[in-house]
Amino acid sequence: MFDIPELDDMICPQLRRRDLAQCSRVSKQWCKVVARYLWKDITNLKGDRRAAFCRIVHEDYLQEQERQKQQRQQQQEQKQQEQGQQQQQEQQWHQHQNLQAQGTQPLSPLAKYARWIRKIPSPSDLLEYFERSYYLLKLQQFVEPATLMHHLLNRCSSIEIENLTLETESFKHIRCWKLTTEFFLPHVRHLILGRPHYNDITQRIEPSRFKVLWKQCSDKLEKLTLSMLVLDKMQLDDLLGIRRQERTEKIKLKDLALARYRESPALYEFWSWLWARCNYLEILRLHESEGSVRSLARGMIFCMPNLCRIQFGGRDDCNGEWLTDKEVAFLLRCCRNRWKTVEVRHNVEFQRDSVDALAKHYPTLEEFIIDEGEFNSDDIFSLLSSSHNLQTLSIIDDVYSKDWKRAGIESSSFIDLDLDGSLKKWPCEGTLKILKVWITKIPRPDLGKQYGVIEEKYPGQGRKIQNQVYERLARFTKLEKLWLGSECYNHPGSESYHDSNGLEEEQRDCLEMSLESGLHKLGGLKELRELSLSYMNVRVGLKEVKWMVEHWPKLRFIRLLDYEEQESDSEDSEDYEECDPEECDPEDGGGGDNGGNDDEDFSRREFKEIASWMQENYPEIEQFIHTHCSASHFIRANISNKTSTIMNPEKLAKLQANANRSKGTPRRVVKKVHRAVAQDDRKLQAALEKLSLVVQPYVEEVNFFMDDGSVTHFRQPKVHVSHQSNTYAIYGRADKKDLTELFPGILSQLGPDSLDNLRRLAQSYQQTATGVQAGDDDDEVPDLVESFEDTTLEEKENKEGEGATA
Amino acid sequence: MPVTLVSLDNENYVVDKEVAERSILIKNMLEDVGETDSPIPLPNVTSTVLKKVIEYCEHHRNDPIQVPDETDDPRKRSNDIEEWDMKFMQVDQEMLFEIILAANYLDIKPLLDVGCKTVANIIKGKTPEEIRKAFNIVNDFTPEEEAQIRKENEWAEDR
Repeated sequence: MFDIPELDDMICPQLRRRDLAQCSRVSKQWCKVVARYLWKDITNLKGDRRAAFCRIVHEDYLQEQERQKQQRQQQQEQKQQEQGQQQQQEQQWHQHQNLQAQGTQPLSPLAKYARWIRKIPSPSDLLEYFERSYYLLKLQQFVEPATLMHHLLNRCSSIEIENLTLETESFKHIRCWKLTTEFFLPHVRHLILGRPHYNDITQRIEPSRFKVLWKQCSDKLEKLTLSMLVLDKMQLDDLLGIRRQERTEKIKLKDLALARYRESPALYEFWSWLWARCNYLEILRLHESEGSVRSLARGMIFCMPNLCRIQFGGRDDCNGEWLTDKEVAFLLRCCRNRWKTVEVRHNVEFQRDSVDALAKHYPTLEEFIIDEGEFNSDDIFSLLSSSHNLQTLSIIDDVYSKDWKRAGIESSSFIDLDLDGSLKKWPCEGTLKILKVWITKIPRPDLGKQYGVIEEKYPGQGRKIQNQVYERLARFTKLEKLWLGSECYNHPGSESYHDSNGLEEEQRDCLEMSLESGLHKLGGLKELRELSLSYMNVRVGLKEVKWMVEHWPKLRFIRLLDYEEQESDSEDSEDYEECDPEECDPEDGGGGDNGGNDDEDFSRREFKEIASWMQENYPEIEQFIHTHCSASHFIRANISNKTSTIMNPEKLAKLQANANRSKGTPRRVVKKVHRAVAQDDRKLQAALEKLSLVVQPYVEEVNFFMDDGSVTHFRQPKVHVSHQSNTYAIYGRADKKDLTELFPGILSQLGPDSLDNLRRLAQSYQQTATGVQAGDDDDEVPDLVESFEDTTLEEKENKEGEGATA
Repeated sequence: MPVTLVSLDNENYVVDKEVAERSILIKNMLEDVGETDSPIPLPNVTSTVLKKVIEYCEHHRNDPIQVPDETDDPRKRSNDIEEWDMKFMQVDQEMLFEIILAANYLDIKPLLDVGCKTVANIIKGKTPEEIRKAFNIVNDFTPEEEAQIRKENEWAEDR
């Protein structure tokens, strides 16, 4: 509507449905533009709006019926005329003709706009649209809701369905179920059978039904989540009426999630049938199983050549059917390739057997994430020291960690000294990006005698070890996320966790993270974005924070355990964008036993100082304060209020109170987008992507005519076109050429503006023409004339030139 | 290091590199060309518009570069324009569109966003007649046609 498609694309999606409806009545042009945005999404229609929508479908359906009736009559007339001699094929042809003839009639709204419909409600919701509307519409003619739904779906040609969840209830209404399989499944990218997050034992599916579903899916399907219990009872379906399409073979399933996996003799056939279709599978997620996993293991070996990522567990509500250590170990051994990613989520037994099975894969492992299980200091050490490609190592569960003392690498292993007293080289030094691990057993004489503090064997040992640990950390030059402390207060269910465990869980054999202890050695970690020091007794002050922001240019997130907060003014209030939270913490981690009042005042002062300093100098780093009160209050504040540049303590305190995120809200996923390395190509591609270009094949040459008469000539370039925005992207080697060099083939491309050029050219020919050339010209003449057949004007010009040369 | 920008009508503007690099177009240009003193011609932007754009970039020079978020809700409350930006955008229609076009050309995503949000805010809650008036559009519908469109899109209307 503003002449630039991209702008429409930015403005229209911001408008609500009713505003778009108003826009559509502004002018014909606006109406045309707005329609595609207005009709894009027909989900969440309520009340009168829903009724109005249903009326459109209803009317359209009746019209269509009427039309078909007329057609039938016409056909009958024709039949009578031609005495039934026609063959069926011809009949169809006539039908087609009739349809075309009807195309001239004014189109119904649905026929006009249905092609813009992208997002539709789930099958059951859609059916409800039509079921409920009858009372509201008071229509005279009753039509089955499912019939209307069928009609609507028939009209929609470009549905997109990101994910579709089918539950047992979906199967009850046979008509709806048929429509679902016929119209929804072919567009689905992620098919979920059963509700993955509810443990509902009624959710089950029979293999035969599953196969029917599978057959309806298209190559769009990439991910399958099978949360239903597969029953061994074979049942015949009355689904034979579904229009089947042969596209099954194209499905390239990449991601398969199995919940409540169960093997029984009767199911073997089904599972092997499924495995046979997992040729392209890369990621397997096994949430829980009931008993044996032998069939799956066989499938992994024989049918999944591309499988390299696996996840165990991960559902909070499983029925106690945990994967056992033996099963995990067994499956880990059954990989045809080498594992690249292994994720061990909660509710899995991951113990010695599994660790041993995994040990063989350490050299190839790229990601290893373990939330629960036994992975001790020695294991971490052997993984770190033998993996060549490790990018992610996460031993700290960032969501559910309940047992923070469980794991961690001992400082002596982490330092890993060679005989000559230098640090041994680890192969993953250049690849590791995410490291979430505790480093333990560091003497901390500065903390005095407290529980958990390790005493030095000789004076200065603590600092020496810390120095070496920093040295080791500094070698991971690509490090983006470094978590040395656990982060456990975010879990919705674990709010009381800290109360029950009190403050004793604070780590006291950890790094100090102060400049005096050698923090400055980490100055080379230029990629660092996140640092978490939660629940560690660290000595980070303003000085350290200043140093951090100065040396780590990409830093967006610091998290430290804060001092003990005594004010209890922590009311819940608005949620804020907690994307890259940053949290500051003064020293004195506030062990309950040594935190006197003076100390607390000091720490609060220091903390505010840090916060306001950060705000003034680095407002782009979103700050995220976490303090914990003596009771169970967690105050989080987003200091970074972009509108204000100067921070004063009062305001800070206010914000602190304001931005408290309510407990129990789910943690938001932090999305990290790495800045692309400055490369021409990527930038270019990003720019081109925005234009939604289409490749135009078979372009032989492209010429740019410059003002100075020269030509930039591309030979067989790649050409991408966007007609909508009248944009062409041309890649290829360009040569700068003179017009004469490209003669005569180029003549056909010259437009009227090139007349001047031609004239000049002609003159130059005239000047340089000699008797010898005149002879040659005879050969050229026919060529020229031929290529000029279409543009008479230029032909004339050319003849002039020709005449002159002759 | 200062950078010289030249507008369509040959006005020169000297700005800090940091400010100029708010524009991805210029940023890329500078990265590709390397250290250079030569002025950067911006043949699509007039001086009045360029002045405005520079004003915006100066104010937002310290903002973090926004990373595109896939989970971005396109309908993100469009009233959440910052105060300063809101004031900045209080210009006449023509200027507003000029700024949007310039932001699009110079590839300054935040400015483009703010511009589009402002336009969306203008449209919001208005009747078609009011929108026509706001954007100076001629109604080319016959009353019957308009009624027809109204009926077609009735399901989306507010009532």
